[in-house]
Amino acid sequence: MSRFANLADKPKAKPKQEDQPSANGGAGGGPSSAISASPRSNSRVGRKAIAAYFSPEMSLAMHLCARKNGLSLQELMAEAFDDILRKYGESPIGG
Amino acid sequence: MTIIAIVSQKGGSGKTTLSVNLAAAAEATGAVALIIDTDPQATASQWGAWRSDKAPEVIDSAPPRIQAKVDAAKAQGATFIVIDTPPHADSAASRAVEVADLVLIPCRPSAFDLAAIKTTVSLVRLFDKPAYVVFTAGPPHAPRMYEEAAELVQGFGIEACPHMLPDRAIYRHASAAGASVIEFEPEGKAAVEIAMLHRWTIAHADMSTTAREGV
Repeated sequence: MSRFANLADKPKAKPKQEDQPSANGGAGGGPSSAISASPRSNSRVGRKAIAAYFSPEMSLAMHLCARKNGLSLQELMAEAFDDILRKYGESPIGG
Repeated sequence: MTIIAIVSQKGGSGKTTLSVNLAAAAEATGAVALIIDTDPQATASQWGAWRSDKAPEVIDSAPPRIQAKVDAAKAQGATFIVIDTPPHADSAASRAVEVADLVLIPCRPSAFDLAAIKTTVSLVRLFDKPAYVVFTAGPPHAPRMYEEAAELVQGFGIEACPHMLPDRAIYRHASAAGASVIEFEPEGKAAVEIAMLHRWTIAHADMSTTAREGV
């Protein structure tokens, strides 16, 4: 009956189950998804998150710069961090 | 096929209400409509679940997969796609604008909300997409106020859509019932307003695609 259900990231929750926190909820990517993500990205294993707060303009500019150059935001940040390390006379780390 | 992105950096501007009702209006005219929900809060998806996935259907999507989903949906027969985006989400908003034929920016007709559309305007300019502000949740009878709001919007270098969706209780009643306003009260004012907005949207989206294909 459902025409586009195969395109969903997460298997659709039934309305009756909405109050139950589902065991696999939030992991993303069901096995039946036509276009699915891996449950947990291996690229994060053994790595640390660096987060910071900026103006909406800065956030938008960085996302667009990444998009324009075909990079992920993370790749763009890695490049920026290496540049800044060089600027202050430190060795670049390279991601 | 028509692809509409609903974008606004401000929360509570009526993005999801506009998305689901616009898609329902398209469905009512015989289109195969689909809503792509990129909001992690999944409000549109919740609406879809409440109506047991009755058309127009809602699917979720992480921002990088929007394009692939649009292509797949087109292959599966979709003719009208609405992409609902979360507030403060540059990644989802930029991907949605990138694939869209037309961008609608829902906005309350208040000074605070209008000032916040500047960022969204810069985003649509970067991708060179036709975009219009749609006034939502304002008073139904206030022509002078809408005139002033439209002038303010023009000051940001963007036009306001001549059709607005004023605040009506039926939006809350319909959403709670997992329905669109057209299904809930087909002869109601809100149903007429959304049908007019849909017709206008189709005309403007077609204009933009024809212009681009003509180049």
